[in-house]
This record gives sequence, structure tokens and C-alpha cells, in this order.
Amino acid sequence: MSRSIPSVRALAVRKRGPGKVTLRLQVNGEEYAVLAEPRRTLLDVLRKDLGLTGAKKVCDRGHCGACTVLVDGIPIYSCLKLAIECEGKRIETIEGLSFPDGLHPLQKAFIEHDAFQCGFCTPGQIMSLKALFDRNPHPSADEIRSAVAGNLCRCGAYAKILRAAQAVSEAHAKG
Amino acid sequence: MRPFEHVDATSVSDAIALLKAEPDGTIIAGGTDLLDLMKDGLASPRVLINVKTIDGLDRIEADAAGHLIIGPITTLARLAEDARVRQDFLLLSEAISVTASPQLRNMATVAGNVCQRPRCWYYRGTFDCFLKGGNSCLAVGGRSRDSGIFGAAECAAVNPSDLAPALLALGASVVIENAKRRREVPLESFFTAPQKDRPGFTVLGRDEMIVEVKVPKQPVGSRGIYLKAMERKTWSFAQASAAIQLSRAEARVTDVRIILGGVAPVPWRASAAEDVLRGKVPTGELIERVAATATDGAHPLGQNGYKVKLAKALVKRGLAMLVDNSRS
Ligand SMILES: Cc1cc2nc3c(=O)[nH]c(=O)nc-3n(C[C@H](O)[C@H](O)[C@H](O)COP(=O)(O)OP(=O)(O)OC[C@H]3O[C@@H](n4cnc5c(N)ncnc54)[C@H](O)[C@@H]3O)c2cc1C
Ligand code: SF4
Ligand code: FES
Ligand code: FES
Repeated sequence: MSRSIPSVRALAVRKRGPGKVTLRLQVNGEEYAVLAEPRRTLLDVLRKDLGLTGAKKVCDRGHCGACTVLVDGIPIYSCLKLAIECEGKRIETIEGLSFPDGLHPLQKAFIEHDAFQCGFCTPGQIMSLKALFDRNPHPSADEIRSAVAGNLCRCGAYAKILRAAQAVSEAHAKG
Repeated sequence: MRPFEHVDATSVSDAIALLKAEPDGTIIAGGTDLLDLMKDGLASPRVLINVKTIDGLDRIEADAAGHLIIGPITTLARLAEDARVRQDFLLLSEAISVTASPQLRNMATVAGNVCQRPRCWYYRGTFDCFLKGGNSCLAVGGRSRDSGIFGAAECAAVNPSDLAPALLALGASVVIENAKRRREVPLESFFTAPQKDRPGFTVLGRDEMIVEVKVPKQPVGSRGIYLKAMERKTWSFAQASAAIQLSRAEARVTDVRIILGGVAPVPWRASAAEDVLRGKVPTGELIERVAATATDGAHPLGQNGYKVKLAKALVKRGLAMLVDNSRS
């Protein structure tokens, strides 16, 4: 098998960084151009460059879930994702949920059922649940539990989070 | 994290050429282990080669012989949900269902998972142990709760993967490419215990790439199970785990593979235990003997004797469940 080694010049053209480069990102339906180094995580771009502080930075290591956002509809930890690898993808954060038509049904249910204390984990919990409800409007209690298995709540609001999500699921079942 | 350059690879040969041209280059797949290591300065590549931009590397398909071919950038979540996997290789879905968390399974890739670095507290922390070029293994005589009970040479850390034991129980192999050649390596010889002159946990060279994972077709009626003991119910590494694949004809066991996770620097094959079972009718008494044999020769350190009991119990329970299920 023959392999062509790219020339040094060809390589230099394709490599980006290590300094700042322009990243084109689509967040909550809007296009942004951000100047950032390739080492910048999606979480830092959202929070520091775009001022979208809904996704929280707690552990920065995939241990808590507070930074959960959706990329092409799939929940991921934005603290372990390079922003440069999110170009051309659809990024959704909690800020995209409530604007401009008022609160998302999950947000309303969280308020109604008092599904938080400090609220720090809430954006992550809701984004994980949103991905579930987008796929399956009427999930079971087990499906809800699995969907938020990667979101810690230090305040222990788990039972109420489950109840809030179940209420949304039941409302969908009734049509 | 040290600054780096980033390249989106466009083909396997492109990625391999980049690895060769960049001695300080590393493949990034899901990034869930690599970025963690980079934030701690445990890895400091100058060039990251993104392989997620290569078309066709996320395939899950069967070849003409019925073997399962998994592309290296396939995420754990997609593999676990695949209809063919759920039908014929359920062991893989079971192992993935107890791996990390949903978000991590959405990000983590199959190749990245089998290449992940150990979670030893000294390694991840700020200690100069053997694995980081120091003189000795600090877990021996130190914090050894999470260390291995088998097979350590210089480093007592365990291979943290849940997928790897499951793949091994199915007799899987990886296809590896470098600039010169393509070779197929059975997973059993892919994983290694770190030695003085060879500190890696796998035989993968730094200029090499995993391009495929192959899982052979299993005999009709062959069944598998994955059991994992954790400190909490989810999102936790294995204290010990057992991946078992069992084939029977009439009442007799025609073949069995028992692989233990979380107990050795490699997914640990309990060959002697398999031998006790092969060709026999799996009675309760025999299963007891197999389970006892599975942990023969274990060398617990100060704080991890509990792993011997756990591993034994997991093998016993797993075999009992497999035998029970196939009766009905
Ligand atoms: C909080 C937490 C909990 C976890 N719990 C578990 C658990 O319970 N069970 C478990 O099994 N794992 C667990 N993990 C580990 C996780 O599964 C791994 O980090 C993940 O599978 C690595 O895959 P990746 O695609 O993200 O790899 P990356 O981080 O991108 O890469 C890892 C390594 O693989 C190399 N690599 C990647 N692809 C290739 C390729 N094609 N060829 C050659 N080299 C390659 C990279 O160069 C790098 O060295 C956990 C991780 C975290 C953070
Ligand atoms: S087990 Fe390995 S990683 Fe842990 S202290 Fe010993 S040498 Fe270091
Ligand atoms: S900040 Fe990302 S998982 Fe904790
Ligand atoms: S509400 Fe405080 S962490 Fe969940």
C-alpha cells in the first residue's frame, strides 16, 4: 500500500493554531464568529467568549454534568469538547430554550415541582431531559432516570427532578 | 493545557501520514480521556489529529463471514444501540450500559476507550511514580484500594475499560495501521502490563492508528453477560467486573471465555477457570469451583483484598445466570 506524506507546506496550511483562530459556531440557531485558540473548550467559548453562562463550569472533567449542552441534538459535556471540533454543528444551550416564546415545558415543570435548590445543576439536567423528550415525548420513569444519570445534583433534588419530568411526560400522553 | 495545533484528518492514510510527520502529534477521538490528561499536563501533544472528520470510520457492519466490523470512531452509545449488536453481541451493549455516563458514552469512541490511560490516583495526581518516570510504584505500600490483584510488573494500576473485557470475551481483535503496514492483533496480545523498557498499556506505536475492531461471529446459542461492581450505581469505574461468553451443546459447555476487568493492568483472562468448565455440565458445585479457580494466584496489596472476593462472586453469579437463562 502506498502512502503519500503531505508536504510540509500542505500541512502548515491545514493546521490551525496554536494561536487564536476564527471559529464559526452555530449556537441556539445563531451564527457566531469567535477568535479562540484550538485548546479552548466549548464550555469556555460559551461562557467566556459568548457570555452564555447557562452551562456551568464545576469540575471541568466530566464528573458532574453541569456543563451539559446538546451538539446536533445529543447531550455532551462541553468541558471535555474542543470548540474547534464543533464547527458546522448545531449547538443548543439552556439559553436557547426559553427565547422568544416564553419558558420551555420542562422549565415550567421544574419551577412548578420545585425541582432544584441552588439551581447550579439545573441547566444541565434540563438539557439532558430536552434531548430525551425531543426523541421520545412520553418517556417512562426509567427512561427519565437514565437520561439524567450523568447529571449530579449536590442538593439532592433527584426525586423532584423525576417528578417534574414525569409531569411533562404525562401531559404529552394526554395530548 | 499547553497550546497545540489542530488538524482535521480527511482519510486514514492522511491521519497516519500526519502522525508520522509530527513526532509530537496525537490522535484525538472523543477527547474524554486525552483532554483530561492534557489539563493535568500528563499529555502535552503539540499537534492534535482529529480523526472524527474521516468518512466511514463510524461504521458498524457485518462482513461476509458474519463477523462484526466496528469503525474506531463509533461512539459507545451508538454501538450499544445497534440492532445487530443487541441481537448477536449483547455482551457489548451490557458492558457499555454500565460505562461512565450517558454524555460520556455519547462522546467516547471504541478505539479511544480501549486506549484510555489508567485511573490510578498517583498517576492522575502530582506524584512521580514509576509510570511517570519515577523509581517505584507508590500504590504498593500506599493507597491501593483501586489497584490490581493480578499480573503487575512495575505498575499495579488496572486497565479501567469496561468495553475491553467484553470485547476480549468475544475473541475480538483490532486492525492497526502505520505508514508501512496493516496488521490484525487479537486484543489478548494488544494489552500489555507496563515494563521498564516499555511503559505502555498496549502494543500500539505512537505513529499507529486503530482502523477497525473486529468481533468474530459467535456460535449459535452462545450467550454473554457483563457484571460490574461499583462504589455507586452509575458513572463509576469498576472495582471488579466479569465478562463471560458461554457456548453449550446439549448440557455441556463447548466453549467459555471469562475475562475480569478492574483487577489487572490488562483485561485479565481467567484461563484456568475456563479449563475447569470446558467440556463439562455446569452444575452449581462446578460453578463454585470455576469461580474459586478464577482468582487463584491473586496477589492483593494492602487495601484491595476485597477485589478477590468481588471477582469470585461476579464469576459465580454470571455463570449461574447464564446457565439459568439458557435453560428456559
Ligand atoms: C468521569 C468519568 C468516568 C468514566 N467511567 C468509565 C467507566 O466506567 N468505564 C470505562 O470503560 N470508561 C470510563 N471512562 C473513560 C472513558 O470511557 C474514556 O475516556 C473514553 O472511552 C475514551 O474514548 P475517547 O474517544 O474519548 O478517547 P480520547 O480521549 O480521544 O483518546 C484516548 C486515547 O486513545 C487514543 N486514540 C483514540 N482513537 C485512536 C485510534 N483510532 N487509534 C489509535 N489511538 C487512538 C488517543 O490518542 C488517546 O491516547 C470514564 C471517564 C470519565 C471522565
Ligand atoms: S500503580 Fe502505576 S500509576 Fe499507580 S503509582 Fe504505581 S506505577 Fe504509578
Ligand atoms: S463541568 Fe463538565 S462535567 Fe463537570
Ligand atoms: S439544585 Fe443544587 S446541585 Fe442540583
